[in-house]
Amino acid sequence: MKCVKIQRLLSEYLDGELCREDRRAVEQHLASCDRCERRLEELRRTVEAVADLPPETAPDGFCNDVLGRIGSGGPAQQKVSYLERWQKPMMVAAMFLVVAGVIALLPSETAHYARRGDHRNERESYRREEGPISKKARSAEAKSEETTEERTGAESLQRESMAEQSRDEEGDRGGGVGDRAAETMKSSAAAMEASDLDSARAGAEIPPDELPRQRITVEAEKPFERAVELLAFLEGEDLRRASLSVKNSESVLVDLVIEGESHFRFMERLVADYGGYEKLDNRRFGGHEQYLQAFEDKAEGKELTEPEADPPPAVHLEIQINPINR
Amino acid sequence: MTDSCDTDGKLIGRAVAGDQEAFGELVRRNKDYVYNAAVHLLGPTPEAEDVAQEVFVKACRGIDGFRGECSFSTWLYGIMLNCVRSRWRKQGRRPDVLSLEANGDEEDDGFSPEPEDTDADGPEERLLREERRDLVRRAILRLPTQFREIVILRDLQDLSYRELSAALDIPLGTVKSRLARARDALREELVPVFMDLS
Repeated sequence: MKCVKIQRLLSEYLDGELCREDRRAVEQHLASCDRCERRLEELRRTVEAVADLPPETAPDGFCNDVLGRIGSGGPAQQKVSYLERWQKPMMVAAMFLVVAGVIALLPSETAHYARRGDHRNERESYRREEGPISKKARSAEAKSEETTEERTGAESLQRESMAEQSRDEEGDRGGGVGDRAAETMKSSAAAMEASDLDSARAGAEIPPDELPRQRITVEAEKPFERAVELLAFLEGEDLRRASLSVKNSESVLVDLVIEGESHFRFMERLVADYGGYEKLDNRRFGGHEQYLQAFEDKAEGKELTEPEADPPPAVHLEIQINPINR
Repeated sequence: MTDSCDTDGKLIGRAVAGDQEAFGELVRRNKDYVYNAAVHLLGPTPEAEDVAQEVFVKACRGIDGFRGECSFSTWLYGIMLNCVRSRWRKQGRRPDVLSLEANGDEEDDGFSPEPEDTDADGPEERLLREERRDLVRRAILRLPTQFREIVILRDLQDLSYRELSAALDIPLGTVKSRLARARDALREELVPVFMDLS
C-alpha cells in the first residue's frame, strides 16, 4: 500500500480497530517507511496528549441547579404531551390540507397534470427518477415529458421559511429528544467546519434548478404523515428550502434543498427507512460519483463510508410519496 | 428511596414514572463527564455549565423517549451535542471558541488547576506539563466543530466507535474516517508543540 493509504489507516490502527489483513499491511509498511512510522508516533502523542487532560468536574451545586431548573414537578410533570409536541407540525399539515382541498376543487391545468402524474407513478414503489442538472437539460426533458409539469401547481404551496422556523424552535425541542426511535439519537446539527461553510456559501449562489437534482418516488401508508415525519427529521438541518405539497389529496411531494453534510445524513435515513435504493445515474448528478457511490454501497448492504471527495455544496431533492394501497 | 447501587436502568424506569429523586441520582452519576465534555467543546465559559445543565433538563423532559438502544450516557452525549451545536449556530456559524485567548490571562486559562498533591514531579516539570496541556486545549478549540466533537468524545471521554456512531448519529464508516481526519488536524496543530517541549 502507498503511504497515503497507510496514513489513512493509522488512526484505526492506534485504536486496534483494523481487521487483521489491514493491520498486517500497515505493520509491514511501517517496518520499511520512516515517514509513516514518524507519522504514527506523532499521532500517538496527539491522542495521548488529549487523554492526558485532567477531567473538569461539575461545580458545587450543579445538581441542585439542574433540579431547580427542572422545577419541583419532577420528570412526569415535565413531559410535553404528544399533542403539544405535534401541535405546530399538525397546524402546518392542516394548512396544507386546506390549500390542497381548494386546488382539488379547481378544474385547472394543475389538477389535470397532477392526476396524470399520479397515474404515471402508480405502483412505482422505491422508484427513483433522475432529474437533469442543468437548465438546458431540464428544458429538453420538459418538452419530451409533459408530466414533469406537475410540479407547477405544487410549487405554489411552498413554504420557504420552514427551515428557519425549525431553527428557532430548537431551543424548545428538548422534550422531543427520543420521542421516536428514529429521533432518539438524531443529530440535528448544522455544525460545519470552515471548508463546509465555504461549500455551503458556494451552494447558496447556485439556483436550485441548477443544483444536482434527485427525484425519489416512495410509497407510504399515510403519505402526509410520512412527509411531516421527514420534515421533522430535518429540523435544524441545513435546509435552504423545504416545501410540502399535496397532490390530488393523496400523493405528497416534498421539495428540499439541503446544504452540506446534511444531505448525506438525510440520504442515509432514506436508505435506512426504505431499505432499497435503485442504482443511481452518476452522470446526471453533477459529477459527485464518489459521493453517490457510497449510497450505492449502502443499498447493496456494504458499510457506508463517507467519501473522501467533498460532498455537493447543496442538493435539490424531490421526494414524491404515494399512498401504498392505491 | 434511592439506592446508590441501583442500576441506571432501574433509575431510568423510576424517573420515567416521575420519581425526581431517581432522576437526581442520574444527574449525580453523569454530571461530571457531561460537564467535562461541554467545557472542552465550548471552552471554560459560563455557557459550558449552562449547556451541561440544559442537557439534564432536556433529558428529564424526554426521558420517556429513551429506548435503551444505547447507554444512558451515550444518549446524554447526543442531547449535549444538540445543545452545543445550537449554541454554535447562535454564535453565527463560526464557533471558533477561543476563549483561552479571549481570556487574555496567561495565569488563569479558566480550566481547573492541576491538583498539587497528586504530582510526584517537581514544580518545573509540573509547569511544563501544565503549559503543554494548555496548548493542547487551545489546539482542540481551534479545530473545526465536527473534528472537535469526535476528538473529545473519543480521546477524552473514551467512547467506543459504536458509541460515537450513536452519539454523533453517523455511520461507523464515517466515525472512522472523521476521527482519522480530526486526529490528523490536531496532530498538525500539535507537532510544533511536541517539538518545542521535547
